[in-house]
Amino acid sequence: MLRLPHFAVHRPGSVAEGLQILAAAPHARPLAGGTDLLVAMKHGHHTDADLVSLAGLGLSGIERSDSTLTVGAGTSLWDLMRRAWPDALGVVAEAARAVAAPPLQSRATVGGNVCLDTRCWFFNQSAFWRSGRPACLKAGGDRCHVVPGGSDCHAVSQADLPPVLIACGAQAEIAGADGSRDVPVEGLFSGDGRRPHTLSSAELLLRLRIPLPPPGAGAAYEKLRMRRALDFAAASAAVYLERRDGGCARARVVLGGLGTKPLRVPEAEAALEGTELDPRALAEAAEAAVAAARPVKNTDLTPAYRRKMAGVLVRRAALRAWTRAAGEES
Amino acid sequence: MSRYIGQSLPRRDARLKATGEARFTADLSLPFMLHAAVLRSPYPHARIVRLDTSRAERLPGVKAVLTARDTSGVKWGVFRYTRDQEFLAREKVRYVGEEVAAVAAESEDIAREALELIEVEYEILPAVFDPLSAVADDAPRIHDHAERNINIHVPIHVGDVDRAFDECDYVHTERTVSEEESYFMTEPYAVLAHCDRQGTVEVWMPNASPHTKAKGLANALGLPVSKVHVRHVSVGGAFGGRSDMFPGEYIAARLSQMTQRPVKLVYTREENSIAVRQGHSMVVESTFGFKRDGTLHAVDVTAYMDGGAYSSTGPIATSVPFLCFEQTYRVPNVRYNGYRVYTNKPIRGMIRTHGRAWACNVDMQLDLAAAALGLDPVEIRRRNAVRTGDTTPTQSKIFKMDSLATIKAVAEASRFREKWGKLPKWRGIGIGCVSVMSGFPMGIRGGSAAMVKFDEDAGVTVISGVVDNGQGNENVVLQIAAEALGVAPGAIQLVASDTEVTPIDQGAYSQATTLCSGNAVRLACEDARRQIFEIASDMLEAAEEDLELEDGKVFVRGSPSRAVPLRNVIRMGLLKGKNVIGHGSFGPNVDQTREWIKNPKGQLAAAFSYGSAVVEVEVDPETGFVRVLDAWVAHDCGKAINPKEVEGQMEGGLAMGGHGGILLEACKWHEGANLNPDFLGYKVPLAPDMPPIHPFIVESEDPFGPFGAKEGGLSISMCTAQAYSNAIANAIGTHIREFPHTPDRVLEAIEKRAVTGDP
Ligand SMILES: Cc1cc2nc3c(=O)[nH]c(=O)nc-3n(C[C@H](O)[C@H](O)[C@H](O)COP(=O)(O)OP(=O)(O)OC[C@H]3O[C@@H](n4cnc5c(N)ncnc54)[C@H](O)[C@@H]3O)c2cc1C
Ligand code: SF4
Repeated sequence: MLRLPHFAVHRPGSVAEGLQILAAAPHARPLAGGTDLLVAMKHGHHTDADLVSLAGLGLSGIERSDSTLTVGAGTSLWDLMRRAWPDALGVVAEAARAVAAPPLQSRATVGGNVCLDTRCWFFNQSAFWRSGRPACLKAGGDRCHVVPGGSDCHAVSQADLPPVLIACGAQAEIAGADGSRDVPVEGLFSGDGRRPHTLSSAELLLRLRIPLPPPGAGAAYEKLRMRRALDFAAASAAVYLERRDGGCARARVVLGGLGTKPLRVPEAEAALEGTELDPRALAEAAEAAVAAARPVKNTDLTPAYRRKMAGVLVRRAALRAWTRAAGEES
Repeated sequence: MSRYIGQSLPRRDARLKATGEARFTADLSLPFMLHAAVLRSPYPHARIVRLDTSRAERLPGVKAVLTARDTSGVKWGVFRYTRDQEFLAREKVRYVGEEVAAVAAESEDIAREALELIEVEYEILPAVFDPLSAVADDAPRIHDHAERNINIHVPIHVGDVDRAFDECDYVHTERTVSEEESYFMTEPYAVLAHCDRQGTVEVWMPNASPHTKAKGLANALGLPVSKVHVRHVSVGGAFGGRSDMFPGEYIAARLSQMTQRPVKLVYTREENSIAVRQGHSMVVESTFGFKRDGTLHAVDVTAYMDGGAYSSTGPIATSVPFLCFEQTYRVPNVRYNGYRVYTNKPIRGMIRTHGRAWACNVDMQLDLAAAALGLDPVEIRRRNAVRTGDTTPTQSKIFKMDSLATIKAVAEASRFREKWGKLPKWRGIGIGCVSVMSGFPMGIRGGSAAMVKFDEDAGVTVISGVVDNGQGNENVVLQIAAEALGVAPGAIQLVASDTEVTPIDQGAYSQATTLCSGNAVRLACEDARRQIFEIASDMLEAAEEDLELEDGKVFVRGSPSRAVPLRNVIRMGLLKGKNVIGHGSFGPNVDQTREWIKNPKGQLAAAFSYGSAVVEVEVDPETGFVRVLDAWVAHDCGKAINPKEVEGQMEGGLAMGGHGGILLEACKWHEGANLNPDFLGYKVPLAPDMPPIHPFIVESEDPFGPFGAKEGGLSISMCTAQAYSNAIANAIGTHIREFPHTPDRVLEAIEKRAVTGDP
């Protein structure tokens, strides 16, 4: 078995205390379910980290008001999956069910999924494996083994919840030394494979606020993975639609697994809005998704294939979202 | 009449494994035990310029550091002529993961810390990563002795192939390629070794042949075999990948010799993937010639197999794909050139599916010929299937094999002929067949022997070299002993695998266990029964041939009241100085002069199994994903000693060879580094991935097998691969020549066909 490095664990009892520790300790890192962070540490990443356990911060729970569904960052995916959702938001549970497999779902948290690091064949390897070649950009080195010559890291964002949360228009509540602020989930992602999130190391994601969808809304998530029982997305798509008077009044289209962050595709949204999702609109949306996808050869299946799948998945998700929306339109 | 044969009795290890009580090597611990770790080469090909272990030696808690300097230099290879691997690299490293040094320390953390203090200076050498590049004239030379990096060449030529092609009505050439498979046994490799002050070395490790391991280790350590005891331990899977000797056991034993303390070495999942064995990747080019009526007349196959850095089981691995073919389909004229080529990749060994590019190439050829000659896939297989009474091109007589019954079973259950050509678009059905040998000539370690002894209260202990890797071998010999002695299997003790007390056994290797170990146990029990009757005949005043033994009683046939408890017979024997001890020894009826390269002819095995599979699939034409709707598998295992176990083997075979082998599994590489040595990256199918499987057991009653039994289930691993591949071809209208058929490849094939109109 790979061994964990030695590390300290802080167990703050409140958000304020947690933020204090994060601000004070230079290498402090939030530890939620640990299903990704501890694996990375076994691989010899973040070996100098002090872990700050979020378990005592009271961040778990799902609440519903008239306008908003609030999900604590510490909520387990298992709880997320099993809760009854307002129908158009069933897509959130759908995405949670697509994460890993049941034993992991019961440990893994929503916050950890949103803050999940980007992934790459050359980065998610043991220290021994990586010792055969110079460190890459993401590991602090000066080159990329996937796209040699450039100065960008193309590690891929493969978390399942973010595309869906962005599609549903969710806001994230972030807390730092100066208090807390709400940002759209989309704004959490930097697009830099090295440091894929915009959160500073002294900030915490506290909760997500998902607006309750109006009547006539529908959403769907399509995840393509090599092995159905357990795999990260080689490509995924979340589509949220609002249907009014038989037409699509609003669309949000987001790709996962196809770039360094979840990719919003405004051209695909524009292609769907104002239409009845006729085949031409769907084809245009699919084409826009293909154009937006940025796969490189650092995970399962070929980049050319994954790019093509962006279109297929967007079309399928849009159609399923549309059917659901029709069921909701009263 | 059978009380225990043919019964799906619960396995005796099931409860232990389900509750976690079963002890695997990594669970073991001995007083004063040290922990070892291995420093491995991060480079695929490099000269070791300097190796300095002094800082590691000085780290507190480090008890020994081992490098090639501390070894005798004995090289390992399964055959005398393939000894090419030192257990620790001396001048060069030849693959990423090769052992360079090892440390024994008070804890695993100290051992790993010490590895970081070992200084190695490498001079990087040009490397080569695929067999076709490796045989090129300007390729870097990996071993001085191997020109063009050719490690093994198996040439087989029977009949007159060139003339025979002229006599054919249909001749077609196909080229297929496959990536490497990996075993992903549940249990990563681990070893515990203990050298005592008398110099005796005890070893625990997952293995498929304790006696082979003991001999190899004794050679490497320069000890007589009597000084090396490989012990019994639960084993979490082998699939062909635990057969020969590994540096791990040598390293642990040597470190224990140096420290005089027990040493445990536990591999990571990554080490298990790269530093044990892998399956060969291959390029296979075949030409098949048929007569108009669909009979196969001539075959010419050339295979280039990527053997990795060392020989391992090379000559066997290079031959077995061909042998499985010649046992499956009749062919009078055949030429085979198998080349196993050295590359700078991990070492390749035997694996359950012996070459998907090979096996599937054959069945692809059959389907294409059937289409060209106006036959259906079932019919062309029926016409060509090898059957009882046949002799293979390399001179193996098939004594009993009900190939046609397996074809019939799956064809009828799947309603193949009703569906063929009539399924809706993007649905497909395919069939595959394969025969597997039960054993092959392995010289002095090719057979098995067993003993059975009795306690004074008639408790039974069977002593056998049988080894169980998870497939249920221990249960098989227990049920055989139970039947032969009329005692419930649960009441029999089994002492297995331990080389100190058990007689030589071939191991769970070459599918020989049921046939050889099973027969040895049967013979031992029959010998004991004879002795029991001899004693009881005086007690019951009846002739020995009139006696029966059942339920712990000896009685006179026809008058069960004239009975005496077995316990009394055993005690009477003890009184008379006739301690009942049964002996059984069995050697399979094989030609021991047969040799893999120099003389590939003669009786290969005493028995041959046959398996057939039909699979129905649906392909998503937009994504290339394959959904398996149903799978039917039939296997002639001679006689199912325990039907549930045989079914388990069939289901596992489909998971590994069919579902994993054709849809999911492949090692991925970057300059000799394995990109997916982990369970997440390497796609072993999991329970939710599995399709419904309908197993059919065919019992042809083998004349030599114990109670008619022979190999149980292996053929399914290969024939499901063929059936999956052919079913996909049927669904998308074109064959895919690259294995596995991952969705990107399936989609590409669909698109290419749309463009070219390829039939
Ligand atoms: C075998 C396997 C399969 C997997 N498959 C999938 C999959 O299919 N899809 C998928 O999306 N994921 C998958 N994962 C990854 C992971 O399990 C999930 O993404 C999970 O949701 C991570 O949550 P966690 O609570 O365990 O995060 P952790 O591992 O605890 O943390 C992940 C990262 O988020 C940071 N973090 C956590 N919480 C916060 C917070 N509140 N504020 C700021 N930063 C925070 C941590 O510091 C860390 O950097 C898989 C993992 C494994 C081991
Ligand atoms: S994309 Fe390049 S820089 Fe980024 S993790 Fe992979 S190899 Fe490293």
